Amino acid sequence: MTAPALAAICHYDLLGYPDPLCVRPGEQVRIHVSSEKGATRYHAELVRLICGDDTPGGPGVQETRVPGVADHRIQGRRQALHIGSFGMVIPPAATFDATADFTVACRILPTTPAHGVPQTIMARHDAVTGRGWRLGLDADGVPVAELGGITLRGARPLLAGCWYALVLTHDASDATARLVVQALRPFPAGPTGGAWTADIGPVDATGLPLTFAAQGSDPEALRRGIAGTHFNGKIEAPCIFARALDPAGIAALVARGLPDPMAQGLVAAWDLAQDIPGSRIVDVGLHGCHGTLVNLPTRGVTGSLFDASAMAWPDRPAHFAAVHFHDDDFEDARWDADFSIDLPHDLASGVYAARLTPEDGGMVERVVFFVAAPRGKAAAPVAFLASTATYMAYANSHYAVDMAEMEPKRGLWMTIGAPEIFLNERRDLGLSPYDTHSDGSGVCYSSRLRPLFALRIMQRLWAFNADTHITEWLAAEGIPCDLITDEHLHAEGPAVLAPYRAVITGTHPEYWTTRMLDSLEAWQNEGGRLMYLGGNGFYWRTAFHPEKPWLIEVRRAESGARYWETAPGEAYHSFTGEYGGLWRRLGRSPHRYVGVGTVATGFDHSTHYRRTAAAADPRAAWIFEGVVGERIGDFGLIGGGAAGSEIDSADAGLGTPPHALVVARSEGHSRYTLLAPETMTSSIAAHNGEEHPEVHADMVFYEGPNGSAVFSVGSIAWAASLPHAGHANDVARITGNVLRRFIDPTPFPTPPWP
Amino acid sequence: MYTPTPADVRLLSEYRTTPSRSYSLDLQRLLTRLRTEETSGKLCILVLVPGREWAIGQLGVRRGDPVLFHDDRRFHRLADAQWALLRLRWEKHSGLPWPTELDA
Repeated sequence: MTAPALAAICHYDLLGYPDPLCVRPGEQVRIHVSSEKGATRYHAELVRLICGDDTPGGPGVQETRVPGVADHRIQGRRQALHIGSFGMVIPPAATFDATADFTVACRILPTTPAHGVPQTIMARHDAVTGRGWRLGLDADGVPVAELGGITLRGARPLLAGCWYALVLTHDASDATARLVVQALRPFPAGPTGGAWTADIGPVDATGLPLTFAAQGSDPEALRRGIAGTHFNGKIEAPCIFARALDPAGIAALVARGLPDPMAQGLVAAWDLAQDIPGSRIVDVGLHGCHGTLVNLPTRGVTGSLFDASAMAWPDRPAHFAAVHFHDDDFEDARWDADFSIDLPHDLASGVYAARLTPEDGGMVERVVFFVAAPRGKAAAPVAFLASTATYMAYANSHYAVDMAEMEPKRGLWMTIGAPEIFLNERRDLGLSPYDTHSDGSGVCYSSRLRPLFALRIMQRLWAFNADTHITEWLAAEGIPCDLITDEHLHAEGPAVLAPYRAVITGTHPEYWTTRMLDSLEAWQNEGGRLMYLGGNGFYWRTAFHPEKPWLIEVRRAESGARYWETAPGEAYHSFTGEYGGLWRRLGRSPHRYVGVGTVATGFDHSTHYRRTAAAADPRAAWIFEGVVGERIGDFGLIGGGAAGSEIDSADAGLGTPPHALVVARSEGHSRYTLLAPETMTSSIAAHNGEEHPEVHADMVFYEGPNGSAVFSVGSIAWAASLPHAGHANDVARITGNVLRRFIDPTPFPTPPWP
Repeated sequence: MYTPTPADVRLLSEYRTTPSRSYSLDLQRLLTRLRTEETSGKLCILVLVPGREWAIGQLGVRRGDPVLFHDDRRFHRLADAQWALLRLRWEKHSGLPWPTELDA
């Protein structure tokens, strides 16, 4: 009656990821694979993916093998995953070991003090032998210090969300240890701290690494992310003295936080406000004992001094001198590569995969990657822009099972299959910016150095898998089309777009960095023609890590359809220092670039468009050549219509050009198609597609500078209508009409003055 | 807060016979009520074979707990699985007996 569903439903065995994700012909991509079964032998081939939709009535999976490349037979093995962030200093300075006396201190804000398991805050500790010392919380959230064969224990659990100072001293001369706990702000009632002293035996931490927010004694294991007893919460101003501070010294340290670098006996003090974009933790003491953060804890977060006088960490770093550690943080699977693929120099750009076929007949795995056109060399006048930043953002999402509101929001019974069930239990594959950490705080980072379920085919039609309806249609129509990627666009700027007369977006190009948007705007101003074949695009400002292109960051500030929101004072990206949130709220609404912007979401049903009077305008009439009826797209694989899922509309107040033509508008949306939060300032009962006049998708066309143009459909569901009736349908006809005209070098006439 | 009453049994008939695009406001309110609940222990539909086979499942108490089969039933039409889940949610949230005559 209550058998686990995982084994019956989830047949995943080989899981893999590519590195890099976005490459070019002539480059090499490494394929990292782990076998869930442990030792599956498999055959690897290179395939070009055309379509990943295997849903009933869909076009079916389409892929073609690339002969002569990556034809390997490989013995698989299971490769481990280690989540949970921490800091480490390896090896600690010789000064660490020079004296038996010491003081360690820091400020902490626990987020799950009573976590049911011990948590480590600072340690030089061997968990097996008990050698060294460890400062942490017990399973109930009570501060504890383990050293010299005893455990010093505070009197009561710490409170979640409150700042405390912790100090541990060891005086070898009289063999005593002292634990001091002090809340940094008074509580309405009850004690705010205390001190506990005990006689102890010798403490020997010689040679042990120093760790923050977890413990581990093997430096090599720590480098691979292997640690235990992770801490959920913030740590600030950790420091070590080579002497036991007296009570007055302890009181001064508690009051001050980060000690004076010249303080007597100071070994090291780490100012976590330094190098916030990076993974380094900087020792401001005299010995340069700099450390490293492992598995990407959150930086650019408020510290104990934050008082709302500065909301941006670059303005006053001292107020953001904390690091927020989580037991489910993740940066890099660190799997060894099973094999690499040297891409032929003449390989056509497109979506590719290492297809891994188990010899035991098990589930075939496709490790998807993107081969962009050679730099500056277009093989076609049009390119498809793969939304790789968006694919990275969706990553391994858990909202389908974690978010209680999802079912009533969708207006559909909660229905989950293999991907959701597997990811629910395999949290070690890392989270996504659609998730919250185990302590409830939002996940703002995502790494591609792990298997990403957002890059699987043969599953829910969303983002990447849904985008293959576009590549399938292009292939079926025989339209030559290059592929370019978000990652290249961010790294190389407008030069990526420059060779193309026209660019086609995916169905859901949601995440854009500043440089991506700048590049798009520059290309449009030079005459580029953009076909926006999606919805909810150009929505969240995003940041790539400046040195680690496998990482993105999203701060969900102010408004927008969100699964969490940034905490006060944490709206600025740690990677870049940029303020986060919706491009609409940042003054660069998508309406400026594609004429439309997000207005509503609805996942129960999609609907059709109806032509407007503007469709007959000679400027736009060519769009509808061969289209007979007034209703467009009352069919499709997402909700049964071309307008739905997430939809956008025109709004002159937000930047839709005055001369833009709304040539079709959707109608008949459902009661569960709901206005996006940013479109309203207060809630009323009529914010739905049945009752609110603003809930509709707009199909927009307009001309721009230097012969440029924009065509936008404002609907995620649009491309899922392309395959209908073997592509003999109005959605495909309109898309084809626009693409052919956009490829035609004939400039569009100068936009009319409205 | 709205709670289903015996008078709402008629809405179950409507659910059975009416395309979802045409549900009455009362039925939509009932469904929203039956879908508004915590995730802990939540009953849901499991896709065993996409497009071909479904079952009723149950989420665990805590995040990340294993998803379990709620019972041994297997459905070969999604609508049948949805009907079965509707009954379970109705019984849970309305406290009213399920009108078994509707199963005929």
